[in-house]
Amino acid sequence: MKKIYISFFFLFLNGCSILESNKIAPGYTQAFSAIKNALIGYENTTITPNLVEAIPYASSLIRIGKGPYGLMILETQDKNKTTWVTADGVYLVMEKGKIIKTKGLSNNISNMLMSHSFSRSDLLSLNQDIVYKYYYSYDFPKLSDLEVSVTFKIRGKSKIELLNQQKELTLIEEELRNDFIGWNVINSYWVDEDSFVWKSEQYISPRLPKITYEVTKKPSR
Amino acid sequence: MFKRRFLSFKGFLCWTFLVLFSQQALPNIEEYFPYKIVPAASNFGNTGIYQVPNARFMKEATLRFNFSSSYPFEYTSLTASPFNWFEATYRYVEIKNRNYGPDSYSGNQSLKDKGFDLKLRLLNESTYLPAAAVGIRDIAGTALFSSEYLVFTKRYGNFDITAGLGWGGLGAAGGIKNPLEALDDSFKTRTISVGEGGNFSPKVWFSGKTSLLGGIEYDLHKYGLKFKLEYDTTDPDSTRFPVEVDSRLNVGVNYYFSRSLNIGAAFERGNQFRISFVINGNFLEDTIPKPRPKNVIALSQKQKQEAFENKGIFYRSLNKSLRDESIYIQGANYKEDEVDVSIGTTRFQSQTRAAGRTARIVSALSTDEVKKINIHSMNGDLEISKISINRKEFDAANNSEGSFQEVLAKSSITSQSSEPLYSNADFMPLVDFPEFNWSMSPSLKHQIGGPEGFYLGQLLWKTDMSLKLSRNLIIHSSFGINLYDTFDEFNNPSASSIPHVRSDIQDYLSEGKNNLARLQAQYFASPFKDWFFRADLGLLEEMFAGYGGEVLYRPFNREFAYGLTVHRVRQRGFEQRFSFRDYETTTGHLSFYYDFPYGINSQFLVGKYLAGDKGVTLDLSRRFKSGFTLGVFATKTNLSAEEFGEGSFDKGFYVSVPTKLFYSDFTTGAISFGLHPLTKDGGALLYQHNSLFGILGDTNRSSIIRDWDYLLD
Repeated sequence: MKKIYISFFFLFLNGCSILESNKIAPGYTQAFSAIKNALIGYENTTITPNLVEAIPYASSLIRIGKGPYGLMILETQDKNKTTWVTADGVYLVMEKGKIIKTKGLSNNISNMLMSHSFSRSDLLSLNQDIVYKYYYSYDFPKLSDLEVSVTFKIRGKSKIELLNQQKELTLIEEELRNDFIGWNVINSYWVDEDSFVWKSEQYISPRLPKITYEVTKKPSR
Repeated sequence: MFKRRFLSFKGFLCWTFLVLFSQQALPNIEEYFPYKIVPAASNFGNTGIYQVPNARFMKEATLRFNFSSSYPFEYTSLTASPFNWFEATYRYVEIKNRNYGPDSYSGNQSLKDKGFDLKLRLLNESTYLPAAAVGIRDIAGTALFSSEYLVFTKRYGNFDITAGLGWGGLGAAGGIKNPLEALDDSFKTRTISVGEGGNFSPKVWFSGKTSLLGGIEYDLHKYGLKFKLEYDTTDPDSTRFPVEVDSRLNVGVNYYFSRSLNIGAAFERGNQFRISFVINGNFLEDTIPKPRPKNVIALSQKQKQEAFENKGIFYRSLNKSLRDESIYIQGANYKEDEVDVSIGTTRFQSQTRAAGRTARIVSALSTDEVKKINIHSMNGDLEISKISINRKEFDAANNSEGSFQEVLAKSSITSQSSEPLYSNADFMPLVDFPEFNWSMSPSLKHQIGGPEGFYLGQLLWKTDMSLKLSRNLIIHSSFGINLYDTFDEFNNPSASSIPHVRSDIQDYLSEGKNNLARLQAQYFASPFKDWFFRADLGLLEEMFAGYGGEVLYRPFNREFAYGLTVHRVRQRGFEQRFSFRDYETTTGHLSFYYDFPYGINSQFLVGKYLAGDKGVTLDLSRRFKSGFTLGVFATKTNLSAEEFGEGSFDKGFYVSVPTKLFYSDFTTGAISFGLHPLTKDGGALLYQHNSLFGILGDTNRSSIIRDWDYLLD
């Protein structure tokens, strides 16, 4: 009877001149890919330097948690405040690279008060001994004025690989802490000598994963 | 003096208020704790403390796997919540210090007891009143863990306090008079009948010794910890399998990695440690973002006119744009004021979503004279619906100048299954018959809970092939090649007194490791509107071959359907190739299907089963909008409980989780699993590949309207 199986197998192989890999364990392949993406995160396979060059607007790369990479386009610029928008309708308002307001995420910053201002500070000369205060307000679910203690550490310069260039940037770490809910995270900003934030990894809410952001085409001043 | 006392009382009130309601003053802050603490599983799997249940429930559409191990009791369970107010649990309890049976029968395997529990919410918690729930453990089991309870749970800040009454196992400690005695004297005593199980014994429910039970849980959100303390009233030192008890208090803690995953450690009976592991998933909604409709650049007026005059351009452009969405044209007609497109897809579960994406592309390519876009949805070669969309309303909604409700108000949803568009369309893609398709993947077969071993299984390489000879005529085959198995350990032949239509499962598994599971020709048709027909011939399933068919009447605008299946079948040889056994029979059923509100679907079958027994099957399920489905079924035939054997009648449950809930793109597949606690000959149905209700069951008008908000998604 083994012959029947062998003949079945060869009949089947003859039936398809090319062995299509997407028909071999398609469910397992999909599951493996989903698990890999969930554990390691998505790779950036779609946004290339050429694509960025072809778009005539200031742009940046964004990633929420381990999700896929997306491209944000600069919508408006008002002094040090910039508003960025993604194709699926997520808006991020940034003050000199720090996210201070959002729309379109599962949980959004509706308002934020800071005891110091990113826009007025020279980030490279921040006082590392002062404990600053931020007050975050969120929607869905609504929460007003979550007080967060903030300290900064300037870590020094290193070469950072961006999508379309390499830059020598200074890493500034911003530690956020609220002891009542046990939220303690460190945000990272990579800035140039003009205090321009080229890349950052920011936690903006206890309900959201880390947001990674990288400028691909700098806004003109 | 009076003043001091008064102040003291006031101070006490203030302190009490502050302690009890301090967290409630910050109603939303709990949502922002990095750790998400949800109600915990009891040892038995349903929501509770350890032995003691509470009145908390999982959110609807949740599945929870619970493993909880101690000596001698180890619990493994699956709990589902088809509603916010209802939990059902299926579980195995391993009793490590007792053998399954004599050495000659089951070796040194420890005793396993399976059970089924139900829990129902009676009252929602309010400001002053606690939540209340009633439940039954081991509802048709061996009476080893049979219990009933009525519990109340109230939250005070981070404390969750439970108190209630227990009967049966939970009432073993006694201590109070059964309050139900006031209703009837039969509640005074509990007649214990320990047997093979499978029988419902409502007469013993809530009768006999009664105990007050209770416990306290405390959530330390900041660190993701839940502390639990209970007073155990199960009296485990005086049961059939007594264990040493040094304390009636069980205490422990659970650590929540996330809302979906927690581990626990406990100290119980004053002398044993317990560890537990819980993983759960809520499938109410699809939380993984999916690709939005692809960007379609609308043609200019001039280009649209050219495409109208030379329709080949239109059809080719439509075909290409739809393929980018994994939607395949089966036929299309472009008239002056309307466009008809017949589509098939294996990407979208919802025909409304596929219709919306198709309409978007048609609108971008067609002239402004087109007022109506008719989308004909296909499943296989059967046309299942026709959605006629008002183009103007659709375009407005698509440009955020209208809503999907407005589109619905000016659209019509019909079915013309007997006159599919592809039979007389202006454009039809060329299909070369015979069309060959195949897929292969590893697969598992298993038998759980047998005396030879708790889990015996096989890993095989499964290959499915299909050869479509013409529209509606197809040959399917499925064969498996063994990679590894433990079926040689089988040692429990069937002792059934009726024809062995299913109970020879061990022979089929051990002799058919390399098998031809199916080789079958099928023909489908819809000769009249809403009438569907299927004919079968060949090796229909692993145990039976034969011929037969199904007729289904599905009135498109109604919530019911009915049908008839009849097959003449002969039993296949154990090795599952081309040999046959002597047994043959005719089996068939009249079927009635009804869709109740809230996604509750019912199936009622009446007819003759494979072993020749006659009876009825009732299947109830709830399908959530996400596609997640939970169902139960039971069959009662004219066989006596003795003829049927252990279990008394056939019953089981099933779960289906759409795979799209795990992926970042749409798919139509589902991870389905079901459980027949026992493989018996009574009430056995023929497994029918491509049952008509499986193809057409979720395609009527109400299904399209349910998903109407997907039209623009």
